[in-house]
Amino acid sequence: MLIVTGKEIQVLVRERGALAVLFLLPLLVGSLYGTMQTQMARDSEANPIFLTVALANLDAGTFGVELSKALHGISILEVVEPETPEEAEAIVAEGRATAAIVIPADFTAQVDAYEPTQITVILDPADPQRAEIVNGIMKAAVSEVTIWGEVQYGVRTVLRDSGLLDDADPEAQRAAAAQSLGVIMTRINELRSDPPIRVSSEDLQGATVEGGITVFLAHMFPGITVMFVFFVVGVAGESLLHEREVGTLRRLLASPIPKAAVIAGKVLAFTLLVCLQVVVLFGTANIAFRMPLGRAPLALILLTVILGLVASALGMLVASFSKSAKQADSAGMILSFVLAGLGGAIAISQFPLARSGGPMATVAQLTPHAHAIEAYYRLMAEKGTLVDILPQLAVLLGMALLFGAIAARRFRFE
Amino acid sequence: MPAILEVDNLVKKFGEFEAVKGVSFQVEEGEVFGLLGPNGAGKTTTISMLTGILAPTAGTARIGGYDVRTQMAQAKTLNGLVPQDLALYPTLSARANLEFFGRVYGLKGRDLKERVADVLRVVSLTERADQAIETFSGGMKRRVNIAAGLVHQPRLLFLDEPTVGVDPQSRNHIFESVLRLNRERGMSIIYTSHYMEEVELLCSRAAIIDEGRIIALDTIKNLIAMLGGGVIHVGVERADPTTRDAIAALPMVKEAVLLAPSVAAPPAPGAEADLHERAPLATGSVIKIVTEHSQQAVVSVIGYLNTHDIMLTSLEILEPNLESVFLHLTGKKLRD
Ligand SMILES: Nc1ncnc2c1ncn2[C@@H]1O[C@H](COP(=O)(O)OP(=O)(O)OP(=O)(O)O)[C@@H](O)[C@H]1O
Ligand SMILES: [Mg+2]
Repeated sequence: MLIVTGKEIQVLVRERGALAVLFLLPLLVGSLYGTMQTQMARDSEANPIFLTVALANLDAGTFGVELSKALHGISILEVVEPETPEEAEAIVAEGRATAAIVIPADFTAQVDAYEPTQITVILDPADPQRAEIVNGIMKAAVSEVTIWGEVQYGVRTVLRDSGLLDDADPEAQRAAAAQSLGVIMTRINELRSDPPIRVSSEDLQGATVEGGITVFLAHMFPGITVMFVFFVVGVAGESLLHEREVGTLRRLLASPIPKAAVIAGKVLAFTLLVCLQVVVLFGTANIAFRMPLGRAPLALILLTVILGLVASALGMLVASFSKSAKQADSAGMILSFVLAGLGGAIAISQFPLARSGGPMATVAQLTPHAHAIEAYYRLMAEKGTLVDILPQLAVLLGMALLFGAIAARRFRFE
Repeated sequence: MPAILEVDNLVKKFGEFEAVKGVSFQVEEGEVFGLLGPNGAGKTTTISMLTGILAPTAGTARIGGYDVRTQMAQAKTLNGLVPQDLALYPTLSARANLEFFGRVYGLKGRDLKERVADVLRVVSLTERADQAIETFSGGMKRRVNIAAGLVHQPRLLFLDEPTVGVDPQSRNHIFESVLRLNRERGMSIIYTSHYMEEVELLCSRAAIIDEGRIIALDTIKNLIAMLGGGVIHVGVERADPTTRDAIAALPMVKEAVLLAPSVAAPPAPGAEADLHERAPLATGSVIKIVTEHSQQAVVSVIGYLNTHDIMLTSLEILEPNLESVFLHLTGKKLRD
């Protein structure tokens, strides 16, 4: 089987036309969209989402300092630090800042003691939209700090309850707690580099910016990719029938390798081709447009492999219904366009079409495209893991097996 | 000598149509055996059943003792197939093609390299080995096509019309290779063709196959001897059993037969009779005359027709070759 795969790859490498369609065309289309998108993002930066906040930090303790740092670290925030809460309020009143944030003097102490505490956020009523953004940021930032407080509290409780340090002097107890805390803090700081802070807002063009992920990158680019992946259907179907027409299939049938290996070898080759296609397209999008790839690389790979299987198996199915290689090629082409349309691969929308509800969504569910796009969306935009895409994987694998089984039954080797 | 191939009443039906109607023959180890027949005779279909491409509808065959119905896997390792079509990957080089077909038979590593180098030598294409097949001439492609069936050193090689569309030079080259494979390596070969002269030249024995049946099977010498001193076809204006019997009684004539009107196709309206190719079929009445000596018989036949005022419309003296044998047996030409 691998022998057939190897040969198939040798043949494919020389198929300039097919490779152009499978790789260059999607790159071109993708880049076009990507550039448009980047342009849009730049435009929205020019009409700045920049927000100015006035921060009055009355707390010299660890948490006050950390929170202040966290706010400074958010790129869209311009932080000014007046001395007093009153000054901060005045700045907002004068419209020089969207919001004022007051961290109370006992903030660290309260968090440490695991007592409720309050950060005051004074919003500019004249600009509710932006004010809402600041509110969102604050909630996220504070939750980070409170988690930390919780952890510290937790560490101390554990140490006390375990009785481990009962005999130790208070000095040693603090040292041990500090050490455990050090580990946890490192972890939290790591989290900051992939911040759990999300900013949601609608910009003027209506494109949603969600933690820096754009509609295009989270949904449309994988959509385009899936569409072009299915162009492999025509290529694969044509390749199988071409072998029958040229007669190489007869040679293979006369050789000791089983029929199934001939087909399986081909399917594997085209699956690898799809994987390469996805790697190239996603890689380019990742580097050029900073498309997120999610946090489950293995799930991403598995999904791509299964997607490749579905597309290749569909190619074999098309071959089994076609009379000639030419026919398989055009049938595959038409099919891949129709399925892409129905499956929402080219829909300009924020979410996968299949999520929209209604009859179109139901139809979309019948295509492998919709399931693949949904799965990529879950992995890349929603940072899901393997578990989140199991239903899609199951459906796609089922389709691959179904297509393969029908093709195997129908295909005439002679 | 043991038989490498024993074919036993093979039948293949495609739906209602019976392409092969019970074919039996044997091929000895080390023999070059010809399967001769016109287009659509069932040659390729027979080979397909013997190489595991098609399952026989009925009957069976044994290759090196392995039954093709139950032990095809073993039989396949003994078989080599050179299909009628150019069954190669045109964009790959000759070497890549040969290596692939070698791998398919389980060859690998140095073994594979050596075998490929060897078959490239056999077909004299070592120099062009690394160029893509699509840049080759028709004859060179044919040679690679043959080489691809040889990489795994089969004991029984099926050559299905290996010279179709080939220039004379490549053709001669192919003949030489076939003979060398047979003589130097003892390869048994089944050679399919509708070119009589090829089969005469290469094969020791041949089966003549027509419409799915073997109509003659013998050594080439014996097949040609069927024609006796030669056969002549005489086209006449009118012919009746009396004329036929009179001609049969002439000296040097062994036998005279009135060919059926269906065999003697009516001439196309306005078509000029071409004495060599078309004449025997161009008129309503053709008498086939088996002679003891064709030249002398022609003289007496013409003499008879003259004296009886029967107009001669065509005359063909069939060379003592397989082409004539086929015409003799079926009343049809092998090729149009
Ligand atoms: N797969 C098939 N389905 C239906 N009929 C077929 C099939 N293969 C061959 N035939 C028919 O069987 C008959 C024998 O065909 P075959 O190819 O064996 O002839 P052949 O002797 O090899 O002729 P040629 O010299 O043209 O190659 C033909 O009438 C052909 O149309
Ligand atoms: Mg044939």
